[in-house]
Amino acid sequence: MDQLYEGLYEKSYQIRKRFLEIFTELGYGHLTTAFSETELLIALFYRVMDFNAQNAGSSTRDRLVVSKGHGAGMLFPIFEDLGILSADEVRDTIKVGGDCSKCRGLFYPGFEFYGGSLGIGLGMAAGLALGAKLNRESWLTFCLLGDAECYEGSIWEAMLFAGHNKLNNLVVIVDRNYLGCSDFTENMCELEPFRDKWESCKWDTKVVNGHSYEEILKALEGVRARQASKPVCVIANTVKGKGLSYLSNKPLMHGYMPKGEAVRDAFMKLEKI
Amino acid sequence: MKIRDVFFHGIYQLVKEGEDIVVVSSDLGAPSLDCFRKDFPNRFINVGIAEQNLIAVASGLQLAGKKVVAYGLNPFPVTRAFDQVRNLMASLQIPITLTALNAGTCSADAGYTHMPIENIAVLRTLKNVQILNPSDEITIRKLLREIVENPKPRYVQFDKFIEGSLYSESDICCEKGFATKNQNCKVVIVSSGIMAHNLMKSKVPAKIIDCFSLPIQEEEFVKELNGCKQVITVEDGVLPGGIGSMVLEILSDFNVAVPVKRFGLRFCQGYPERYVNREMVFHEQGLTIAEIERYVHEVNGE
Repeated sequence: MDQLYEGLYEKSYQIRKRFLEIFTELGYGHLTTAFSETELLIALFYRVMDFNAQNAGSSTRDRLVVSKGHGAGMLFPIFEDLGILSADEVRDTIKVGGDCSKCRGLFYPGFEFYGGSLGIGLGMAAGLALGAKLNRESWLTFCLLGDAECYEGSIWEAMLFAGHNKLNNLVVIVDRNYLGCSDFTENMCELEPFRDKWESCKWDTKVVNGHSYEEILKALEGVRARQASKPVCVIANTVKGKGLSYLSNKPLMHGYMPKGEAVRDAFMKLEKI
Repeated sequence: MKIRDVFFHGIYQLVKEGEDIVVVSSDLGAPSLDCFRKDFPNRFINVGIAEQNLIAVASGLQLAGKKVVAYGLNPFPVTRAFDQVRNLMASLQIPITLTALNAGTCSADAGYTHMPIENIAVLRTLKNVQILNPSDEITIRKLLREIVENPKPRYVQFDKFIEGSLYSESDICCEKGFATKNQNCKVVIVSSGIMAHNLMKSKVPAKIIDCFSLPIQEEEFVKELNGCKQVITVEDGVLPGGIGSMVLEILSDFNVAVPVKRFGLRFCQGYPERYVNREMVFHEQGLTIAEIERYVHEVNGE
């Protein structure tokens, strides 16, 4: 394996491990969805986005909207690793009664930090991207969507809008783990043919293995210099709970967080991918 | 000129003077927007009939540095998109101005679907969103300056039957939230929007308080009730959560014991099952100036 990718896969393991430490100590959180998107967020923060942790509020930075708010927990070990928040600040931010103002100031929409109202983020991301165009600014807007979030009608409103307005500075990544909370998406209400739906709304699409840095980075390579007149949607096929096979790809594990004896078990069973 | 048109003419002027304002519409125009669309096509963004996206896109544009006016047909920007209003405007306090055509029963002839008669009640439950129900164009002119000088999340509803001025600029203080007429009467009528407009123009022998912007400054409001023997609240909206409820809450919180009579939409016989218009609704719900005047005379023992 290429050394570049080896380092990223090691990062994946360390970040998942730190997520487990932070959130098992807290006692709640959305583990399986965080493990589903780990490689996507690491790729964005460490390789793709124009983002400087030492100047995280820079006006020229790329914007990220984490629309699948329940997945926002995975930002904390990443922020910690990047030096945006100290371990104490992370603890203080997520505990009951903690102060989340620092995070809210950095990454709109901040609602992901207290529960996430699904379906809102893509419209905001489209507004950000349109704003950048009107301002003639070159930063990009990235938006991480959950696949089951795409049942929300507001997602389709925003898909139509972004396609029609040729927002080629907008990059959506869909965490396509095929699971909602209670069941598989294709059992609840089929999303497939998912790619065709985006394309019919005038989006460019790519489909990747969302746990493969090789594929994710290849899909996002050159995203800044795109000549196309369409926004781009990367459908990242993932496994909900990736890294802990006993939790993987199972319905009703959406809000699961190991407690008591199960915590030690989770650390022991955590796999490198 | 109708208050909506005063507003959009004002926005046009502000952009002409160099303000970086964009208007986002959910498939709604206005004669007063035609010039704006023609002269500033890049500043008019149409999301289609998609109120949730209206507020999300408006919020994104604001975060990209624009001053944003969102514009939609009431009640949908509030009722359809309440979750967006709640999370983006109230919680995150993204300072967009959400404007909506129709107030109360002004489009009753389009049916219950087009009556934003619960909007004030539901928006009152949110912190951080200023609710404006203007009764004249001077309030609108003041608001335009506020949008530029003091950005914050605002909701403004335009009653299509309100035009002209009731006030001078010095009468309107957006922080205080209300304007007053007939200082010396012992009966006080609290209202807003079209009802305040009609009452202010009437000869009803009562002190009129027009709560054009909510929340009002409560201490100042309580001072206005000094020596009052009866409060009457009048609103073109449902009673739960509206202006009457607000007055009862304030009186309770400030331990003020004064009788309150509420006029508003009660729908005791259910929602109208016939084709109606505003005049008919007002008549059936006892919301006419004559009915209110009769009650004031009764209180005065006349």
